[in-house]
Amino acid sequence: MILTTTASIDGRPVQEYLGVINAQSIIGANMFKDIFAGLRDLIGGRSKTYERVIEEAKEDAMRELTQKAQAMGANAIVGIDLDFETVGASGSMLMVIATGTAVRI
Amino acid sequence: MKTFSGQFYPSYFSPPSEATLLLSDKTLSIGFHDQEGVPSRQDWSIKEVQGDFLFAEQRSRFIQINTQAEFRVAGREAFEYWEEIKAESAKSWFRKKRTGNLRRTAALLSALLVAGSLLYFFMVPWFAEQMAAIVSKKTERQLGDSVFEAMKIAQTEDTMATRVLNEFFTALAIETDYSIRITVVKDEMVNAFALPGGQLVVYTGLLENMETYPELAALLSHEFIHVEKRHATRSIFRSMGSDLFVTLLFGKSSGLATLVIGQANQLRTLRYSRSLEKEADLQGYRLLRERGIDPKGYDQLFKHLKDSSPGAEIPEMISSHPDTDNRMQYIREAARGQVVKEDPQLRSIFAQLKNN
Repeated sequence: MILTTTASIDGRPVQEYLGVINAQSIIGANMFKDIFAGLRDLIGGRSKTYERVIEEAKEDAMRELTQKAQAMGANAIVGIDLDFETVGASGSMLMVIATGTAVRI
Repeated sequence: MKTFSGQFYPSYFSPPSEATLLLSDKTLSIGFHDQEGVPSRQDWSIKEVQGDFLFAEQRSRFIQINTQAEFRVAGREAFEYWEEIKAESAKSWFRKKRTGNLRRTAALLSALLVAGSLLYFFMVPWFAEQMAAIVSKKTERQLGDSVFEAMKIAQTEDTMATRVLNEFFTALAIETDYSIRITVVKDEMVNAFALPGGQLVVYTGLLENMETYPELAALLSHEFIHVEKRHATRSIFRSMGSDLFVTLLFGKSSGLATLVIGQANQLRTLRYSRSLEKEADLQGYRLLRERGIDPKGYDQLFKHLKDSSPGAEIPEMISSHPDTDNRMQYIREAARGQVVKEDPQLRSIFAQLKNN
């Protein structure tokens, strides 16, 4: 299974396009993480707490995207695009949308 | 998360089909075409999978324990990644990779917490007191007067009672740098308060309940201490300081956090307010004691306050004043062994108030 952000895979032409797929994951940094991230904001530096939340959300979205492609019988996903967006009343939740094209190569 | 391509054997005897494998810390997903050629997917939970490396074939193999279905992929990489995932999931929750530098984080956090509380509990109040001390009496007076003027519009003054109370206060002969000005306002409320700079406001509702002059002396001495000890000015700076501190630290965090911390800060402000009230009670009482005035005045005063809100006593923790019973208690203790002597002058001034 090959996952790529490019539209094609070198040396392996696409035999069949199975369709556009997408997966999303919405994750909230909890109240305490918010406080610690607030501290980071005060003293500066990298906020590992938020980085981890983003990483987790990205993993979840990518896993779901891959599983969708697998269910369609695809053996590769091309043109993957990851979108990050904040949602929720105070923008404290993070949404990751993964989009791609499931193909057979 | 990693993906591989390999062969899927739905059962021991069935022929393999080309398939894809997704290895993540939660599941193992296999995408394949069944015997009719229809695409399909199986998700295996990590617990029900056995993984090994077939040395002869140089392939990694994963077996679903229940169905004996197999997935094989060329090379060692899949097996090695599988070992990593297994090791990670075997660790107890607090040792997982994502909380890696747990000890360092904990140390940093507690250091921050200690520094924060030192700042909040000692530095901020100390600084606020320093700031309040800088404020001149003139500024205090201007502040109090402007509040007073703003209030005056909506209220009617009882000029006779005002004159009597000022006379009464002068007769108490309390030494101070502030010029104390007492105003009696016609209102049924059983209350009185002090503004910074020397303005005292007393409601007729409270005066009507009074029967003896020590009660009035108790009230005026209590409110006078608020002015003399700059309580209003100090609490303004205190709450400004801690509000600023809390906003700086937590201002950008989510609504719920701000709410919880805001409430905690509020409780602290109330506790400070209670300590000031107690100071006013005890120091005010000392003025009475020096003049030989009956400490029962305080007792009676507190009774009026209590009667004015029957059955509606709120818990001390969320109140700006100490519990009335507590106030009676500590005054009684302070008053032990006091010599009481009648003051005819005060008595006659008080009588003027009652005769009207």
